Amino acid sequence: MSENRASLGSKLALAVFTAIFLSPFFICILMAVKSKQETSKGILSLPERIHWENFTSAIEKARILLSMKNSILITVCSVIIIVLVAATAAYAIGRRYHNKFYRFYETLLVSSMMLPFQVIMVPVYRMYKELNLLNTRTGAVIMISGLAVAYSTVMMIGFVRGIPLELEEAAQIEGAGRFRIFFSIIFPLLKPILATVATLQFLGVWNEFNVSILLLQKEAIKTIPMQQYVFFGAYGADYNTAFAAAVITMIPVIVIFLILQKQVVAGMTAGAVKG
Amino acid sequence: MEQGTSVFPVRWLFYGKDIMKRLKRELSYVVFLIPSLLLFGFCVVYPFLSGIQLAFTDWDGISRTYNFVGADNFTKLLSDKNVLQPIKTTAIYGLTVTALNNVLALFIATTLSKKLKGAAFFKTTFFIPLAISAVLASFVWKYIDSNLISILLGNSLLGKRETVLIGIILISLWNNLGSNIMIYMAGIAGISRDYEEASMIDGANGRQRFFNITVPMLMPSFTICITLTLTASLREFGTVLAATGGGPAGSSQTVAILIYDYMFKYSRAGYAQAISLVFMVFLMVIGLLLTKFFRSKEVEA
Repeated sequence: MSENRASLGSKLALAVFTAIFLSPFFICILMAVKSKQETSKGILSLPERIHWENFTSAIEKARILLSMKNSILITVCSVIIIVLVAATAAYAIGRRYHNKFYRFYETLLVSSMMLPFQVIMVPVYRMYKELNLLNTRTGAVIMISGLAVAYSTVMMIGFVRGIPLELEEAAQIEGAGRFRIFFSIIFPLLKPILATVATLQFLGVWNEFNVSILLLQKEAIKTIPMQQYVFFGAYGADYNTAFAAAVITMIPVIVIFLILQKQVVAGMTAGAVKG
Repeated sequence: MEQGTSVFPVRWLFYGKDIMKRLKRELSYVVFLIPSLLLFGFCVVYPFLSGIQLAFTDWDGISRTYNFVGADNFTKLLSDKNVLQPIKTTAIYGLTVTALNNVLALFIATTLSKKLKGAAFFKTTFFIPLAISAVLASFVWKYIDSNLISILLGNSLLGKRETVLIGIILISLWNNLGSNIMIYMAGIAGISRDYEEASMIDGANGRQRFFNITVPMLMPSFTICITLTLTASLREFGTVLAATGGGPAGSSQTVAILIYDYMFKYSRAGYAQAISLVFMVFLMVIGLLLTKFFRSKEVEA
C-alpha cells in the first residue's frame, strides 16, 4: 500500500500551493491592523500594536453596516424565494416527468444555464428602467432569484423523482390536498438537497456582482461587493481601512462556509458523481 | 351499461367526469409550476426575446425611443477592429485558465486523495477562496501585485500590457480552483479500489496507474470541469472589471467587458446587444462541441 502515499515531491508542491493560497488572507489581516506609516515601510512590515481604529473607521467610512444590511436583506430574501420556487417547480416537473410540456420546460431551464449574462444585460436594464425597478432592493431580489432558479430546479428534479409515489398516495386516500402533501411530505424529505441548494445560493447571492453593478448604482442600496468595488477603486484609497473593511466582511461568510462545507461539496459535485 | 338507443350516450357523462378529474389533477401540478414560470419568464425568457429585437436597433441605453436599423449592427460587427482584440484576449484567457485550472486541480485532488497528514486542512485552504467575491479577490491581489510582486519581480503583472493576463489568470485560479478540486476528488473517490488493487498485482507503477486507470475513469469529471471552466472563463467579467477594468490600454478587455463598455461608456446598447448575441452563439457551439467530444471518450464503469 506504500504506493498510495503522497510522494515527497507532490507533498512539497502542495505545501507551496497552500502557502500561496493562504497568503492573501495573511496580508488582509496584516494590512487591517497596521497604521498608514507602518504600511509605507512595506507590505510585509509588522505593526507595533494592533490598530483597532482601522476597524472603527472602516465601519464609518466604508459604510459597512449599511451595505451589510443590504446584503443580508437581499441574500435572505433571494435564497428563500429561490428555494421555494425551485422546490415547487421541481415537484411538478419530477412528478409529471412523462409529460412533454414539463419536459420541455426542464430543457428550457437547462439551456438557460448556458446563457451568458451579457445577453440579457441590455434588455434587463431597459425593462427595469421602464418599470422603475432600477436601484431597488426588490428589483435586485427578483432578478437575482430569477437567474438562479434554473440551476436550483434542475438540481432538485432528480431528488423529487427518487421519492416513492406511495407516500403521497397514502396521504391522498386520507383526503390530503396537493399543497398539504407537498409541504408535509415532499418538502421535509427534500431537506438534504434544499440545504445544499440554499448553501450554494447563499454564497452565490452574497458575492453577486453582475446583476448588482447593473441594477444597484445608488449609494443607499449597494451590497458589500458593490461597496468594495467603489471603496477599493476610489482614487487614493485608504488601504488600511479598506482591508479592515474586507476582513470584517470576510469573517461571516468564511465562518458560514466552514460550517456548511459539507453542503457546498455535495452541491458542487452533484453532477460529477452522476456522470 | 350500453345505452345505444339514447341520443345522448350516458357513458359520455362518465368520460366527462373523468376528464374533469384528470384536468383537476393536472391543474394541481401546474399550480406548483406557476411561480417558476412567472419568475423565469420575467427574468430570462422575456429579456432574451426582447434582446433579439434590441439587437436590430440603435438604442443608446438612455433615451426612451430607438430606431430599427435592420442588420446594420451585425454587418458593422464584421468590420469592427475594436471587437477583434477582445475576442483574441478572451480566447487566450479562456484556454489558458481552463488548461491551468484543470491540471492544477487534478494534481491537487489526486494528492489530497492519497494518505496524507493534514489533508482536511489543505482541502479547506483550497476551498475557502470560493467564499470570496471576485471583486474582493481582485482588489486584494491587485494590492499584492503592486506592492509585493512588483518588488519581487521588478514589474507589476497587472500594470503591463504583456503580463496583465497572467495576473488576471492567477487571480481567477486562486478564486475558483476549489470547485474543480472538489469535483475531481469526488470522481477519484468514486473509482473502485478493485481496479487499483488489480493493477498493483499486475505490477503497474504509480504513473501507469494514473494514466491507465485514474484518467479514463475520470472522464465524466473531465467533461464537467473542462466545460464549466471554459464557459465560465470565456464570459469572465467581475474579476477583470475589478482588477484592471480592461486596461492597460485595453489589453485585458474581454468580450464581456467590451459589451459592458459599449452599453455604459459609449452608449451603444443596440450594438452591444448584437455583439452579445453573436457571443452567445459562439459559446453555445463551443459548449456543445466539448460535451460531445468528452461524452464520446467516456468509458462505462
